[in-house]
Amino acid sequence: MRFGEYGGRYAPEILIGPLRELEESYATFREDSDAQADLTALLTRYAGRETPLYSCRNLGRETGVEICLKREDLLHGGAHKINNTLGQALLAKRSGKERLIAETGAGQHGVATAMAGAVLGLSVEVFMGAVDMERQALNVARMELLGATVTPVSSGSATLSDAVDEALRNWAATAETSHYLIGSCVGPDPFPTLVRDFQSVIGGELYHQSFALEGRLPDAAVACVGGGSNAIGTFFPLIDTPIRLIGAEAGGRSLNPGDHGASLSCGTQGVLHGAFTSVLQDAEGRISPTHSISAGLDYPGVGPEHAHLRDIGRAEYVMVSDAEAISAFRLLSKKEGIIPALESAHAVAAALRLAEEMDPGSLIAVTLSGRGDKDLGTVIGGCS
Amino acid sequence: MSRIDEAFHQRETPLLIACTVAGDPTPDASLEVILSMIRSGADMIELIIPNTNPVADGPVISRAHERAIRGGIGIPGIFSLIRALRRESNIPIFLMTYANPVIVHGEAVFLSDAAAAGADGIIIVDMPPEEGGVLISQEEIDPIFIIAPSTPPDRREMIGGIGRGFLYLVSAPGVTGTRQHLPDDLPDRVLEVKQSTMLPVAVGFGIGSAETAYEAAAAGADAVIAGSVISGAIERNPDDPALFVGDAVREIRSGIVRHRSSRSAGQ
Repeated sequence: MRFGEYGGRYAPEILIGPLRELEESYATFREDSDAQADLTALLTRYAGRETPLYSCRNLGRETGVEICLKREDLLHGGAHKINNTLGQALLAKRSGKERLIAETGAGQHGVATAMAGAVLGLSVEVFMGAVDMERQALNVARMELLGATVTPVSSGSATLSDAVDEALRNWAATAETSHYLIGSCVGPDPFPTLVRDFQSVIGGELYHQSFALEGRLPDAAVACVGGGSNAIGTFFPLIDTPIRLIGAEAGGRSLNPGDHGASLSCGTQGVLHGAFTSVLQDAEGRISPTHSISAGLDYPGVGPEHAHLRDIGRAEYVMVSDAEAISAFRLLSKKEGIIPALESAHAVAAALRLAEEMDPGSLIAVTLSGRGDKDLGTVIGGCS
Repeated sequence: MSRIDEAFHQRETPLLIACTVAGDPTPDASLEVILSMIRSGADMIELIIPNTNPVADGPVISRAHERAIRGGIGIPGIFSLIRALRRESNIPIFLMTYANPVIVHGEAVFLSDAAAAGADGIIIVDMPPEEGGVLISQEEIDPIFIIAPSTPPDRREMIGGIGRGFLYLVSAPGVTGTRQHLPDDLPDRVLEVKQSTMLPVAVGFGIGSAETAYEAAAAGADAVIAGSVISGAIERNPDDPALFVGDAVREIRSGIVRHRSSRSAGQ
């Protein structure tokens, strides 16, 4: 499966069998009404869907543009990640797997995987960079409390990209009994499709809620992009509408290599973690270090479907700096009483910028991918 | 006939393929390491291109990737290394790389440059045949493919039909690294692969001792591939890696020799 020229299955031979098996079991899962009903029940009664579409009472009002928030931050666990982990964990269980492997950066995906494993009775091992484990000690404790084993990864920069490497290595040895529950719309085919489909509940609800509550579709939909799962989940159901689709990438501290995570705005074509996509790398294909104040956007690649949407001009991708994200984090907290995740604050900042240039009366929908409790240390404590 | 074909054609015992990360720990020391591998009994050289995300490699070779990157070798440096080796030796050399450097360089150009430098074959570890159109259709360098324990029979046949040089059989699920013993079913798996291809079959992953080299040879392998044990010798002896790499290669060789002796004794 390719998205234009992007995607593909650039995986070692040892993973080709497991990836084919996954493709087949997913095709069955999609057509299985029992499985779909089970997933819907979990999403509704366990995770708390549907999430509200909230029209901001104060934010952006001075511009005359209305800003709506798709409140994924209100889901169980505090982030959109659970949409994907429940879907994949249920698929794994129905395929006879006993164990889930996951990578995590900030820990949100690890926590969401641990929750899905706990509720479905699957054992969970989460690979996490040693540096990230130190930065996100609370999430490590949450995962362990939820019954998961958290394994530190010390290779490379000991962060998200290295954790993905280690999860892939572990899967190569354990695929017979284990499912690799990848956390974003990245990785070898069929992962980008799988994750997109499970996250598309966001855009699907947004479409109907916008009609029901506002009597119209938004003029623009904005979401943050690290790997890009909440963004593709927002965009995909809206692709055949006239809505402008805008992804906010991590502009970081500066546009110097190593200072940001803007894979779509600054990357070049290459293969990372099994997919041909837009990658931050040097001229010889060595992957660059990245930086973002938000761990969830601190990744040198991006989902291949985003690279395709960029190339065909269907979606636009903009950069939001660390400083702009922090301002938006504080502003949304003060104006609406909602503390967003720093990742989501990038989308809020991009929406505020957009509001300045749009006609009064326009409607912008922002996917608030997660809540910001986890980021208080970074913003208030001033550490990153 | 390529140098790889010729080596298999002329072999009397299973070949020893010695493997190192190009530029580990530095470009100059790496040349010495490879010359030492050749002097110590290697029949073929596998040269790994250092990568920032070596997902098929275990911890020992992963650290070798990191050392080589720190040592500053780049793609032109790797091609220079091959040219320097070619001035000294006619030994078959194949590259092992991840797809990204090849794709970024331009696939056709990369393969052509590698062949021009003197490489005889190439494994692109995360470029399965389905993604390898350019690799398979070119004639300049042998595309070598991997057969894994999880590769089903129909796919084994497909790969056996399109690969050139030899097939690289992965001994056990997982990543590179040494083991105490190879899996008990290895002889059956070598036989299955041989029945589905005309190509020689080399066994890799897990071979780091005379004992495991013996097991691979006894399982019917046409060649035995040793890598982590060499990267480990470099890691432990940064001041004189070539000397200790020589010891490691001789140890592996002794396992292959023991297999030959036990066979002649049995005849």
